[in-house]
Amino acid sequence: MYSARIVIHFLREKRWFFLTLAIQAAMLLLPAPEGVTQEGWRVLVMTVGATILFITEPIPLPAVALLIVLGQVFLLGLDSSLVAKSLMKDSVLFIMGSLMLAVALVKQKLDKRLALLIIKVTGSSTYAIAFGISVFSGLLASFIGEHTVAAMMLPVALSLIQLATNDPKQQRALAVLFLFSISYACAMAGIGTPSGGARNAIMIDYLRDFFYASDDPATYGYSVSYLHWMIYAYPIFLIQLPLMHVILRYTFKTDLRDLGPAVAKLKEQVGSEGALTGRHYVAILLFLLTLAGWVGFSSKYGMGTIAILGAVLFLVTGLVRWQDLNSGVNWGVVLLYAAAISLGVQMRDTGAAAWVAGMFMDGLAPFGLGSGLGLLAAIMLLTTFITNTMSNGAAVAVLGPIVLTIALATETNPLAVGMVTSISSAFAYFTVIGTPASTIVYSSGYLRPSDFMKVGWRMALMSFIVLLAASKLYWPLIGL
Amino acid sequence: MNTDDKLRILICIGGGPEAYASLRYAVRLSKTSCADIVLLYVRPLDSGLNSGGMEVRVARENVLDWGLELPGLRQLKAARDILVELGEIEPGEHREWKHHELKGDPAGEYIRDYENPCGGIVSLRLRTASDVTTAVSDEAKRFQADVVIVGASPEPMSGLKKLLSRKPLALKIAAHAHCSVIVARHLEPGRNHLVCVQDTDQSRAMLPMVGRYFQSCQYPVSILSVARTEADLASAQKAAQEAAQILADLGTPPAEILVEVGDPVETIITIGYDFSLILASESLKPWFAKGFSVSHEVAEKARNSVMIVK
Repeated sequence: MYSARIVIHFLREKRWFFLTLAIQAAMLLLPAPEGVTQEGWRVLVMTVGATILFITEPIPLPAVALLIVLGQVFLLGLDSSLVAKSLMKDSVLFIMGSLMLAVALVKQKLDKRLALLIIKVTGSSTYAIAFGISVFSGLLASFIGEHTVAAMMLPVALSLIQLATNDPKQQRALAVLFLFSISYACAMAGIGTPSGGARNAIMIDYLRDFFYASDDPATYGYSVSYLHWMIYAYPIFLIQLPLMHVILRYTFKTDLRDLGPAVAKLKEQVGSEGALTGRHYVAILLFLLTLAGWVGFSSKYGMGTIAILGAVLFLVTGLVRWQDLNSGVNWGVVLLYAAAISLGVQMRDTGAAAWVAGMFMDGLAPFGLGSGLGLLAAIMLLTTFITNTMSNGAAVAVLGPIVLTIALATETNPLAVGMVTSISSAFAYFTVIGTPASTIVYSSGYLRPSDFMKVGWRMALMSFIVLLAASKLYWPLIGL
Repeated sequence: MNTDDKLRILICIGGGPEAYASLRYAVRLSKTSCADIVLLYVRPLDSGLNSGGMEVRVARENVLDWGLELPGLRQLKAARDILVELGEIEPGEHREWKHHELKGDPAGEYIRDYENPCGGIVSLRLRTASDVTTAVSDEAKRFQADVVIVGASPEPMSGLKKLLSRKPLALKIAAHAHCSVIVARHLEPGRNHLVCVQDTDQSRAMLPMVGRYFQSCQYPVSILSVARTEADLASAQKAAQEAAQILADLGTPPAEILVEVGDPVETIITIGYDFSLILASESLKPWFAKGFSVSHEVAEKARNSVMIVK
């Protein structure tokens, strides 16, 4: 009886895994649809399975990555060494390096100085502090990654909330304002530069893989440099930032308009930390050097190499211990990104991406969304939907090959399609799991999932309008 | 399960105001047997893809470094303050949170213990787990709990909402925990307790446990036995008389004995509304079928608190 209960409990816990296997088995037993090769169909079966497992998480995510690797060998019959080779790309190196940099920077305890700087600039008005938090979070997150900034800013906001009042209702009103100021600013800022998020690095890799040829100067534009990405995307982030503040201000009103006493207490608390020390200056210098490397040398050496170099410098100078990096980075997620990108390449090579893209276009054509601005809007909507159900990096990894194939087939600018996909993967405003920054601020315990829905649709609407306007008005001006 | 006289009560904090209301009841239980009480808050594990590859633990450690409290500690302290107000814990006691690593999350699991005036332990516990139901069941086993109290929504779900919503946490815990579970709704001491019995071995087996429970709390008891049809009436009467005799032998003579004919679930819910707590024995069905048993249906549909005795 007891062992039967254990088996039943196991089956219940893993029900999505077994359901996924059943769906995959049923798909494999069916003949491949017209227009897709047998290999392409198998890749699609693997993609469907991986997507269900990404969303439902019945087994550890690194296990999904390993299953993708095994599937490529056993289902597609690829050589094991080739599969292993396809896992490691510059974008994966970049993800590894930037995660290590994120942990290293959080460990420097620069956040207390940052808190002092913010309140010095903003004064004690609640809404001015909220805007200040957004601006500082956004500007930093656009370069050093959203998880880093969210982790650094979380205690700043929580301190202000807890010092301001003991009334739970007023605390929550402040919390939704401050915490969303952090998370949405970080999410929006992630689009600004390639180092802002893993999704940008993944899209840069896809664009290069799909369209760049070293012997064809006409394709050089598809090897997007750090600076070019910034020119395309940074203004979109800058326009969204104040609009986001206006939305938050009118969605989450608070009676506490002045936080003078809380600001004074915070100054007293964190002021005792003293001025920046030599260690802090070295950390800032190392990060600025890494940033300079990304802007100046990433086209030649790759963003991943420079991110790894930055992480190594932090280790060599003793600013961070390997134990901290090892426990602070979830290496399984790095493996997952590697496997997802590898699967994306198989989707392209086997023609599976083209088949899905064809179906997508057939569905859009009757609504006049088959090309141009309509197509960009449709891709934006699709990406927004997907990114709210899984992490934005995984969403771009899954969608990238499909949307770029659509761009090719509809003769729409692939760069514009790639940028729209990557940028709209930041519109994960509706769910806690959409972006790392949202997950981190939600971990404070002050927010409810319904808060994300309440403000999310306003944010998404604003972001749609800004992105569509940028793709219609701004990008043609700069030759994109 | 604990075999000495002392009751061990686990209260799940975090599910809403019903759990806080239950504290008053738990204190009443602890007065005579000097019960040990655990207040448990389970926080979901946050790791992996959602945080983009950087462990949320890095942010939590940063929060701790600022001297701020982790989520869950606030709720546990609010419950602690209620116990101070009720005189269960000495006010002004300063105890440190002790780190307690069960799942390997260095910024996750903490314990703070207090002693109540009679020598019982009141323990605040923060845990992290991927599944709250499993964590509560596990903690109940570790603590050797006699009773788990978990707050439920005051208004049971019905209609489309019931179909679309996930099964309430309180009912999942009631199905999975190894010990008795109180599904708490407006759980206040003060009124009689209703013990529901049937002419079955399972029902008879619960009575010693129920007797021990009432010796601790000394609440007046009523016995209810429901016959589905007139033909079953004799069997229901027999069950009620037997139960009354067993409880009397255990030192808890019942205040009244009720025998009714009708649908057991509806009858128990209707009559039980005037009582602080309805007690019914656990079903022998496997966990996935428990929802169709009388005790679990009562726990799901009643507008007041129900204890499933295991």
